Amino acid sequence: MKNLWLYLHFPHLQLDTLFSQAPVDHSLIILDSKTNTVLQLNRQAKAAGISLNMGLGTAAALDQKLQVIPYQAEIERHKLAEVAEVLYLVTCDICFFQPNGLLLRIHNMLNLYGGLDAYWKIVQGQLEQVQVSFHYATGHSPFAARILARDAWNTITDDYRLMKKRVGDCALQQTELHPKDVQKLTRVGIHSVGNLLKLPLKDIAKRFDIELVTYLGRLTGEFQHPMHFFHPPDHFYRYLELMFDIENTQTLQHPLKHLFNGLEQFLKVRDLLTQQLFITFKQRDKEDIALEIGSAQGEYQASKWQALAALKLETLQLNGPVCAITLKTGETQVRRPDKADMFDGQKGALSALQLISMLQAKLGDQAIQGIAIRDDFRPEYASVYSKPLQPNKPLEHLQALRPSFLLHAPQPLTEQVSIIHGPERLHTGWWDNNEKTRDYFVARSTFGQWYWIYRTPDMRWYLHGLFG
Amino acid sequence: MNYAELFCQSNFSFLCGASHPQELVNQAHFLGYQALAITDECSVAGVVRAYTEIKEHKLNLKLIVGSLFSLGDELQLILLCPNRQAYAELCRVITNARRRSPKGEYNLQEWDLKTVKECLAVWLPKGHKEQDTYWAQWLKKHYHERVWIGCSRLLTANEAEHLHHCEWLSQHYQLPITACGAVLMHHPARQALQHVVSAIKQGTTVANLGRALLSNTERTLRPLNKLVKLYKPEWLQASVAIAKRCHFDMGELRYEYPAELIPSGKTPQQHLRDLVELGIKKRFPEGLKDSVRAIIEKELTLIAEQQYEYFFLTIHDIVQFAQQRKILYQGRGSAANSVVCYCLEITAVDPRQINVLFERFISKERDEPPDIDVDFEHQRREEIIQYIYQKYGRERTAIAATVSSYRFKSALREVGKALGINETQLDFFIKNINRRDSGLNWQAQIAEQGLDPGSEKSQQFISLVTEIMGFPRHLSQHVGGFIISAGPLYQLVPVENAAMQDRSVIQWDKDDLESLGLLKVDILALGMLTAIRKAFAMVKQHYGRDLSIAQITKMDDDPDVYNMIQQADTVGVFQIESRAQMSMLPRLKPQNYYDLVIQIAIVRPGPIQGDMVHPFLKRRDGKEPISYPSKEVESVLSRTMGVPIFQEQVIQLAMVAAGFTGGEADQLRRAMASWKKNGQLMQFQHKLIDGMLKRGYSKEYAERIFNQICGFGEYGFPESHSASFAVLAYVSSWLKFYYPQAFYAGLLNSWPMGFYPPAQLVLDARRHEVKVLPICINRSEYDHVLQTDETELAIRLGFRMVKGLSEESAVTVVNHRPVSGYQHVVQLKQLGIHRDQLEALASANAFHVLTDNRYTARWALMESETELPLLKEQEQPFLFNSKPSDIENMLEDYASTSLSLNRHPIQLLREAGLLPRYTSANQLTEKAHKSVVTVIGVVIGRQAPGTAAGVTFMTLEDDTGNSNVVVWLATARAQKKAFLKSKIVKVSGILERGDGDVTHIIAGKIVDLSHLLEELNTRSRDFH
Repeated sequence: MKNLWLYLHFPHLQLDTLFSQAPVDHSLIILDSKTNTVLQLNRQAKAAGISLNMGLGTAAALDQKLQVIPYQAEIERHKLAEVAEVLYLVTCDICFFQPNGLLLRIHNMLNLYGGLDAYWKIVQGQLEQVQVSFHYATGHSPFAARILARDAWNTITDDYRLMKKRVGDCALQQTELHPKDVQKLTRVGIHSVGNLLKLPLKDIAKRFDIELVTYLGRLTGEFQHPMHFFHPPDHFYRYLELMFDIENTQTLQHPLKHLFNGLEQFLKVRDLLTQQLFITFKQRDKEDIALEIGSAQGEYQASKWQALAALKLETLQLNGPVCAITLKTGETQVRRPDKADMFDGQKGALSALQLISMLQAKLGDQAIQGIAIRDDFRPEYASVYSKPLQPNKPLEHLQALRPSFLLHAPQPLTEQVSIIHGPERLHTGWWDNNEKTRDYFVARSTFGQWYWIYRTPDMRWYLHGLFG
Repeated sequence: MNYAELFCQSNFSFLCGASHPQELVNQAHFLGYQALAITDECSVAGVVRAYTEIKEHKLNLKLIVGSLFSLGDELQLILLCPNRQAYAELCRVITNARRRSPKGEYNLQEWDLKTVKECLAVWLPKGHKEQDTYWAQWLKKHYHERVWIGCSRLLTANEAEHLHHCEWLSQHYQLPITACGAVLMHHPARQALQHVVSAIKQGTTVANLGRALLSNTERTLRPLNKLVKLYKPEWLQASVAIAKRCHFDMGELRYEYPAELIPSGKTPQQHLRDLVELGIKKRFPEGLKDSVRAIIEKELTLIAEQQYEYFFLTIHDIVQFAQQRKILYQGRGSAANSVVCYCLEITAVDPRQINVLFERFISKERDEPPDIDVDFEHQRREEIIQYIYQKYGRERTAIAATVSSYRFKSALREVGKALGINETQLDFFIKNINRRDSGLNWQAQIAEQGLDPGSEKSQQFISLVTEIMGFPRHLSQHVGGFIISAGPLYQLVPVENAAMQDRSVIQWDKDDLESLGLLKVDILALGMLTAIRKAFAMVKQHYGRDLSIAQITKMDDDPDVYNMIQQADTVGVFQIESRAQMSMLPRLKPQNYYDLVIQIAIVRPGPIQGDMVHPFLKRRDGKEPISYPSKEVESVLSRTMGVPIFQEQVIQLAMVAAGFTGGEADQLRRAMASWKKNGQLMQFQHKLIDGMLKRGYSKEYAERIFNQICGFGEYGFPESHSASFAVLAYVSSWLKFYYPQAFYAGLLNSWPMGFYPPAQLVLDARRHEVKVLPICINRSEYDHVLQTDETELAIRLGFRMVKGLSEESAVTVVNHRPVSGYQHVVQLKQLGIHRDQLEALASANAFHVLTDNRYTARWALMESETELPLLKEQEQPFLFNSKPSDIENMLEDYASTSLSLNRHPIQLLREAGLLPRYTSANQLTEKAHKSVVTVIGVVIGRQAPGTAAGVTFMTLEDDTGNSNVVVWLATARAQKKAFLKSKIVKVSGILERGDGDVTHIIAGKIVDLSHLLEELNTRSRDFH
């Protein structure tokens, strides 16, 4: 049986990932930050006259209200992996062409599905689920399928003559050839693949390096094209970029549901359960928020996880808008009937981690926190609450004398004290609108307590801490 | 109680100090300090500014010159200059430390400090007991009574411990303590900016710097009453005592000129006079008129009074060398326009023809230093520079610095990054803010681009960007200002490495040099001089006529040449070839040399912004009476019909009409030159307008003058420079008229230079019926040459046009060319030239005499195997045997040589029936004013001059010529896509014919036709 390949080209993967669910009505481009040129654009941007590879300056001049999003390879990589996973449910040999293409070996699948049309219907069905736009084409070789799909041929056929003719019509610029070689060929009047293929390979070999010859061999199918096929991962990992920032935990339920559905499908086809899920809420300016949900007996159903997550979210305080979510599984196990003995529970000492989980379960997550130091002169910002048990990085700069106990809020100084040491003047913090201007002193109270006190520019005195 | 601040860094300690030297001295004066030392790190770059500020404002403050040094991590100290020798010592130490390191860094060594015998030292102990003990002993041993411990009370944590440590050191090693403030800011309000520059330096954000920032605002110049509370009286007293020992004043610096210029036994005056007398014989062989002799005497007297002989002699020496080497040059500047300079052959402007200029030589009352810039052929300037280095040695020669300052874009980007604003967003701001939009300032525009103007962060951002603009960023080298001294330069000013290899720069820029009365010699490069010299050589070769600039200017104004200029037929001519200049030529109709001087100066943003152009034209045409608001103004403006056009006139006006003193006028002149950088010009606004009102001028007139000063600021043109440029404009016009072949070939051989790319020069040549022959493997040289074709002299394009072909390969092809020429492509492969280079020749159709198909030629050359000699006569047929079509040929021409001698793209498209009806460029003259026309052309230029707000000029080229399209802002906005992107356009609009038959098309509808010739590889000159 002759080889037949199907190539899927996703021309605006990042754009689709970000905006498939909430279409926007203004111009939008994905920008290559290195070259400052347009990589992807939506319909409105096209209508404004913006085109691919256009410079940012020109694009911005064409539409003042243009929204610009930097290209993030990460997003496309995750999405492509997700698409591959969905396709893997119906077809076995999938090969990645980063960052935005998938190649399927299909001749070995046709018997299973009863022909090309039937197979394509199934594949199409899977693709609909992931909501990304794509171009497709079959080809007699991987490169042929790729060229044709990227040319938006959008045809499924096993007519080899037709495919070859179409490939011949393609311009050299559409191939994978090095731009320098393409230019050289253009300069002798060779513009299309067909022109090039008419020349004897040995004449070409005398003038170009082996790479070009190899490419041509692979394109025609005369040479083998080694492939690394996709193997599905053992762990579920998915990244979801939100269409808009979410500040409300209720609203977060919806995108989470989307992720849990994906998880259920993933676990179900593998007949797996997981006991632990890790959710990360990514924030634009702040630290990520990590959330762990556990289910002691293991679970796969989206609805169950959804319910658990809802409980967890109730106690979660968002300190800023969330822009993306990741979901990943912890340990997975094969699903089997639960036959654990109720008296078989764990014995012995608790680890710190276990203790914290237990306390958190009883008191709520917020009640259990660690302390971390921060590099800031202002005492209020010099330490922060952190996740329990997170290691502290030591500060590089000189440590000044600071009390062990800092009052939650400074209190007016109401007693006579004698000043022992000082002042240390702080006058900084303009950048986050929390400027502090204070002269700090070490003082002793009449009872012999060592105080850390300060004076404000208007000569008010406050107690801010106590030395141990 | 008195105090002298001995430790103060200005913003010339780049990205550390947060105040200008001027601000520091003013604040120190205001606070009643006795003295202020400017102690930038391993630098004295900011000192002159402080010195000038004190002098100009007559501040009662002693300035001490000093510098801060770090020796590794162990030792930090300040060196202060008590006297001139100490200053020379300091300059030497800085020079040595700087010369050891790449640009912008320094590397001090212990040895440097050991050699210091005069400077006073203030040591800043690090607080590390062992180290400090070692250095205390070391300093005591080498500096004896010239060293103090510097203690600062900055109210930081753990300060008490440090002071104890210092006192302990003081007692143990008998080192006295002095108070010093470690000043980085003149005022506490600069703290935010200091934080920002620190973040810029570390490449991070302010918030991320944490405790690496200053914790408070104490590193400022603080009031005396505060200092009294902080320091022990004897420490304050010590600072004053140290200051008292410092007597050195920057004013003592005197430039000593190289002595070797004067033959022994002669005085400089005698020598200069002898040279001038020699020159008179050469320049005036028929004898000297009394009036000219009188001018020479007057000039020589003035030069002697000001002691400028060496300056003239230095330049004379350099131009003598250029003459020997046959390098064309031309002097310009106020002092250049003198009969003395004409006699010394520094300039070629014959004074008898343009005597009007020579009254304004060096102006004593204006207190300016003499200004002579010498332009040399751009391709050969390096020879001159090497000559200077050889003659005077590297120790005695260096280039003046240029201080690169924060401009709007760099300020916005760097401050934004330090505040943690996303870089893509900053790029977006920068791209979308139009600084030329006079209606809306950038602060308002940035709000339009989506920055919330109400938020605290935006306000901080805007005010910090404003503050940092004008802050120096680094020193780079001036384009050509050399300073040459008698002794080693490093005793006068520190010298450091420039970015360019084997170049060294001093730490002062040209304003600093001027302030100190030091003279620099400007050695500049000018492409037109190269072109003229090459054209002269061709005239000599083919017509046997010897030409020189002086000779051409000596002949009377040639009406034929001026007639050509009046027709705006000036493509390729110096200065008057730009679109704006060309549109003014038919209106101004220059008829003589001085008209050209005006023409060059008037088409500038200065006069245009000051609304001076139209009044001048009206007065010239007699449509408006010429009147003067006063007798004094008449004396300044009579030569330009009452309208100020030249920079000198504006300065003189400030003096006669607003009562500026000579010194003030000189400050005004300098502020004009750099006002975009630091906005210093605004401080003159009141003084000027009030001064004029007081003297009875109308407010409107006064404001108009001030506006013009602002406009001049950036682009203003002094008459003295215009005069020299006009010479070159005339000489190039003359060549264009009489020897067009040599003229165009000279230009093309000097490219890149000038306004037009080769394609347009060639097109212009052909429109002037100059025959241009294609590149030919058997006839071309590397350069373009003149060859006789049939009976006429034609330009043969040279191999230099071929993209991707090196000069070396081209020369090989020429040198190995058989007498009968190459017969076969294969012969070329035996020359050992890289295949790519030959392929480039094939694509340029250089083998057209050997094969009629450039594709086949290139294919044959691409083959690697036939390089074996055995197979050399074999040739494989090209199996893909297609001949390039006309369009393909044209595209190949553009791709390989940027121009085509075959049919123009528009012609090809027309012949292919692809174009609708339109009017070709040469038919536009037949169309009536206000008629509706459609033109089609390749877009060869888009220009949005800052002076004419809202208008963009588009130049379209078709096979018959160029047409000028004016696009109004509204039209451009509505049809942005077609306007911005197109390479070929169709424009329908109204034809307008103004004064002097200048024709424009006011665009109505713009249609992009680029798709017709997608790959057309034309390059448009875009200015956005």
